[in-house]
Amino acid sequence: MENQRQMIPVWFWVGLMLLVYGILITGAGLLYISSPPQNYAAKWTNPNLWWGGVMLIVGIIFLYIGRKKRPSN
Amino acid sequence: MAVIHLGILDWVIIVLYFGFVIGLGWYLKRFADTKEDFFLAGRKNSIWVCSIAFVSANLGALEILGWTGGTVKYGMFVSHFYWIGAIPAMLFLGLYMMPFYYSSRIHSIPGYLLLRFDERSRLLNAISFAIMTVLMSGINLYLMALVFHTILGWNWDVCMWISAAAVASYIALGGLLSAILTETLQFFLIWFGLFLVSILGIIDVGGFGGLFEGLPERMTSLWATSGNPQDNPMGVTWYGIAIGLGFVLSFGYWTTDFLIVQRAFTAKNLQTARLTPIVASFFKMALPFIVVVAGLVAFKLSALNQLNLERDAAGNIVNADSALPLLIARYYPTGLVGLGITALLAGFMAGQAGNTSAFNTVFTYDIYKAAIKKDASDKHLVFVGRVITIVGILLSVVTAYVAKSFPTIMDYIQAIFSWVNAPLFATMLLGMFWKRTTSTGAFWGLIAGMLTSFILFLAFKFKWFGCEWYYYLTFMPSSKALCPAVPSEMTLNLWQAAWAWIVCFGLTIIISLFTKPKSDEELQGLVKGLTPNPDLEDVPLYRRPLLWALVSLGVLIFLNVYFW
Repeated sequence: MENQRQMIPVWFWVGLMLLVYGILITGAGLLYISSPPQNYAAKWTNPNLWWGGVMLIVGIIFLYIGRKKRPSN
Repeated sequence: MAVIHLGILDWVIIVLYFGFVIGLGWYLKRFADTKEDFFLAGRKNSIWVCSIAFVSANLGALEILGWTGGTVKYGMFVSHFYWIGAIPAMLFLGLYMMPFYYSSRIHSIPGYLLLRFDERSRLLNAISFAIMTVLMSGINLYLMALVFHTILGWNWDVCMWISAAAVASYIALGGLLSAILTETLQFFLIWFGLFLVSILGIIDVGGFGGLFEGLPERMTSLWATSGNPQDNPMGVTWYGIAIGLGFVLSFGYWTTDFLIVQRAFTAKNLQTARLTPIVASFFKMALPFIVVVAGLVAFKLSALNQLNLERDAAGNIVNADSALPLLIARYYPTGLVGLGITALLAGFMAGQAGNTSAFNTVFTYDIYKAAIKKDASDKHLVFVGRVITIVGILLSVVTAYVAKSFPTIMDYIQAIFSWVNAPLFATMLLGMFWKRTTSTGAFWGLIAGMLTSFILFLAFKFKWFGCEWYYYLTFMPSSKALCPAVPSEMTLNLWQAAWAWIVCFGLTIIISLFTKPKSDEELQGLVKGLTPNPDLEDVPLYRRPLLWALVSLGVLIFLNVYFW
């Protein structure tokens, strides 16, 4: 799919999706630092914060891969 | 009562996904104007896109929910469906069958049957595949609405119509290109949305050691308890798994189901097409780390009374399919809940999209163009493809409503899968590797195989046989003392497929020996021995299919020995 006419590569869309979701979920994780919800068993960690962070980083990597392969014109 | 409650952020994440995929459909419309673009995604895809789409086409949310629940009931035995029940077939497809498929430049599996045999086999397969796909798509839609109604309390009709409309719009706009792109997104969503359940679950129960500690051997072994069907929760034997699942059902599905194989047809060249199922096999082997681990965590927590799985009066778990939603509710806060639900929704919609894109290709090429308008132009075929996408989705919705009114009909519809695919694998195997196979042999063998599967299905279901025959037909004569109890449903399914394959294989050979085969000239590029071997001289060693197939096989053997 990468080289088809001037189509934006699939990796760009994957990166964009992960980046947007990563920002939203990490943001929620930051809010939970001051007021953690009590209704779930994983309150000993803050999964929103670190898992959202992982998504954000992976999203940036895929955006980079997608942009690098984008046709110049 | 709903298992999971959504916050505002969860809703934002879900709505964003719908906006994302419909927007992509609009964007991709401009790249899907020709028939090659609409039906074959331009035939320019890379190895990574093809292999992710290949494995994702099989990665529906029903499978994830169902096999997580299946693990609660059957333990590690579920891994057989991901390992021996998939990997050998995927490697065989890449190494031996793909050169015939890809080199003949076909658009569909029925297209190969036309070239190798004749119009009869092609139409038989095209019509049965089209019916199977629409019905399965409807069942998928019904179960999706049911799942979201149960775990989230969503309105059944709204849920079904919104997802059907979303899939119809992006497939009608972007064709197979849209399906493949959303399958790629879905793959990442499922890993990011659901793998965390397993990670948090493992930490919660004290690591892998804590997970396996105290669990019975029948829940934690792959083969050790397969010598006697009474020793394992699935009630199957090792040879039932190896022959019924590992050979007939698995090869029938992974090598001939157009919904799956279509993804490899979009590869940019033969080398990429061959590597597609081989690379996909690594992704497939990794999936038990979501499904089986989550299922074992749910089993463990349930045994410790920390997870509220519904039980009957005797204490047996009755609704194991709610295991994954319950784990999501247990471990995920707002935000991640939205991501987990979006992953399931994406899985449902991608499954729907896969069915729809395969259906529109087979209908347009193998039914419409073959039997209705032979001289249709490119533009006309794309128009028909778009219209039939909408029609296919509407038929799915009708099927879903029928399934809602008569839930028992689902048993019949789901059984269609083994009626169609198991005998087709026998036909394909003979067609590709024995040039003496004739068109008449293939056609009547296929019909006999499908009928065998259908009749056995009814016979098992309505008990047409005496009890001891159940054990003779499943090669367990020594267990007939267990009558009136019959073998497990899983055992019957595996051997029903095996018998369909045996009848089709045997009859095709017998009829072929008495009828006239096609000439060598007509079979060029379609049969082993009359097809040039793929030229690998300029291909570096690390890109050769055989090398990666051997690595994949090595990993498969290691996993089976490690979890023996």
